[in-house]
Amino acid sequence: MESNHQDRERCLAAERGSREAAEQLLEAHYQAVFAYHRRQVASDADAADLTQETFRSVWRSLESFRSASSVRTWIHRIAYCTWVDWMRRQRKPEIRSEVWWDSLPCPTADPSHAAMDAESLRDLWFQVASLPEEERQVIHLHFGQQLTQAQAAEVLRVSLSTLKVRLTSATDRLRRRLQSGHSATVLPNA
Amino acid sequence: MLTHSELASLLQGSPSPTPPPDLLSDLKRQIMLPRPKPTAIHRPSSLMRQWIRLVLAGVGTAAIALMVGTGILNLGGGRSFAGAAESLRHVRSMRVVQFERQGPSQSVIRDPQKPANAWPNFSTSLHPSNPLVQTEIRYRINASGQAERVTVREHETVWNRRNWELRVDRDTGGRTFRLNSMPQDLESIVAPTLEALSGTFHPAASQVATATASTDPLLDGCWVGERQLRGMSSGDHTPSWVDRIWFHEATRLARRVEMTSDDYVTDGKPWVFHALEFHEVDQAMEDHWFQFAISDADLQPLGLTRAALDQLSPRAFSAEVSGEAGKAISVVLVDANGTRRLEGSLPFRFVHDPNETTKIDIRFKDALAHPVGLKLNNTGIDTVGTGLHAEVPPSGAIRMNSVAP
Repeated sequence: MESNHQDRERCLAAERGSREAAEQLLEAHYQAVFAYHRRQVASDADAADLTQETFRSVWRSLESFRSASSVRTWIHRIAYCTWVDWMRRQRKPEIRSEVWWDSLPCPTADPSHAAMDAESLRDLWFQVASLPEEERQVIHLHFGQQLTQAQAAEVLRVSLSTLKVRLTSATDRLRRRLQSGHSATVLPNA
Repeated sequence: MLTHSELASLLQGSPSPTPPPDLLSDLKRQIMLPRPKPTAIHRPSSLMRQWIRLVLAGVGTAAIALMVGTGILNLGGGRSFAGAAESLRHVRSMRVVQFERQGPSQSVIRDPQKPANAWPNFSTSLHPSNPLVQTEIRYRINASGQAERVTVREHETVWNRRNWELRVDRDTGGRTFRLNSMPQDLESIVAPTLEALSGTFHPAASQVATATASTDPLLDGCWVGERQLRGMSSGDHTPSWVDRIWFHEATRLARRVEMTSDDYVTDGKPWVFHALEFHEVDQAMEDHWFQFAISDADLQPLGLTRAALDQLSPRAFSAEVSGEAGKAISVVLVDANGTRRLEGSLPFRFVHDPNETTKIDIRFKDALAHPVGLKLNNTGIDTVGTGLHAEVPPSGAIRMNSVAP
């Protein structure tokens, strides 16, 4: 809550022209925005482009943050719209790069990860990439970006119940595919 | 099979992609904030309301740059521009000469291993290969309290008064009339300069503030302050971007704002990419500069007559929808007055006199995706979609997006 309060103060100050506040807002959120895009595109370059495009929209849309429940949700909404626009422009399947998966650091020492090596984790995200678009976004926003279900619903402009249905469907599908060893390398929605 | 909670734990605990090291500095460099609203101006009189209108229009933004000297604070040897906006009320007219690099986008290659348009490589028209093009802008508050402006470019003259905008191509004689509900559109020209200036003379960042004598009468007796900004490193070279301002100590008025860089060039010689000069402040301007006549032929493409034009409020705007000629579209406009439906084929123009915010929904009648463009006030979009959405708030600042195929 404190962070959101600070973010709202920063947005208000940035709206009034404070570059310092804008830089603080940027520092607080650019890594999350980059991560959101990076999980969905093939290269650092594309993710950096999308991050830059997202924040250009943020600066243009500073007035509109007032209607959002949280600045974090509002920025994710802009990131999501930026990504959707980008995919429409691309109009081609997005081939997931092996290099990126290999570049991810190994799982932490969290006990829940101990049983799953890096290769398995890579396969898990391959399966996420092969989900239908609406389910994939739920996974990215709720698990990848760690938004609450209500926040993810707000970003996607769907009801909470719809989001829960998609979440359940997505996790069921992932569990089944991981069990059967299904693999996929191409995003299906382009 | 994994349980739901095990799967959730794995997804949430997965490592997060790390941004490239230069991304944050690039993002900071690209921050483009809206200009502060003129709320600091209290209890506006009729004349003041005109000034607020000017501020909103962006004429004020040039004036901010012009008047910064009056708000200068001396702090630790540096100077800032706090309070400069208050000085706007004193400016009634001025001539602005702008210099800006214009031309085709030029590639800037930071990483030769990557394609020209893949980050960190990019293209920009603000490039030393492009000419420094001059634009001259005169504006004033006329005897009726109306803001007037005339912009002279290399081949074109544009007159703005009220929400009327007339463009004349001086080479061909071609004329284009439109309604622009942004009070004036100078903002689009000077806002980037002011944005850069907002941090230029922050006391902590100031580096130079020395009195100079100049052979240029405009700059004679001025102080010059400058600030260096670090550019994007490329190999061992870190380029500089330098913002510089001249302001007159006696009049406390800015005379020139200049932005230079030694980036994008191999010889390291600084080059100007944007500059503004402020002349003839509060001096009487001859009427002929601002006089323009609107003919019936100018109004015909908008479906207006002179009588109809005179009936429209200053909030009225015109819009031009472009795309494949002949494609049939429908347009729905919704505002506080209700819903208005239009139909036609591309290119399509319409005029709307709004009551509060107007939402515009443009759709192709065949419901298929096509190239489509919309030009409205100071904003334009060209995209592909089954239509376009736009929102025009009372301020006149537009939001647009395409409708997904």
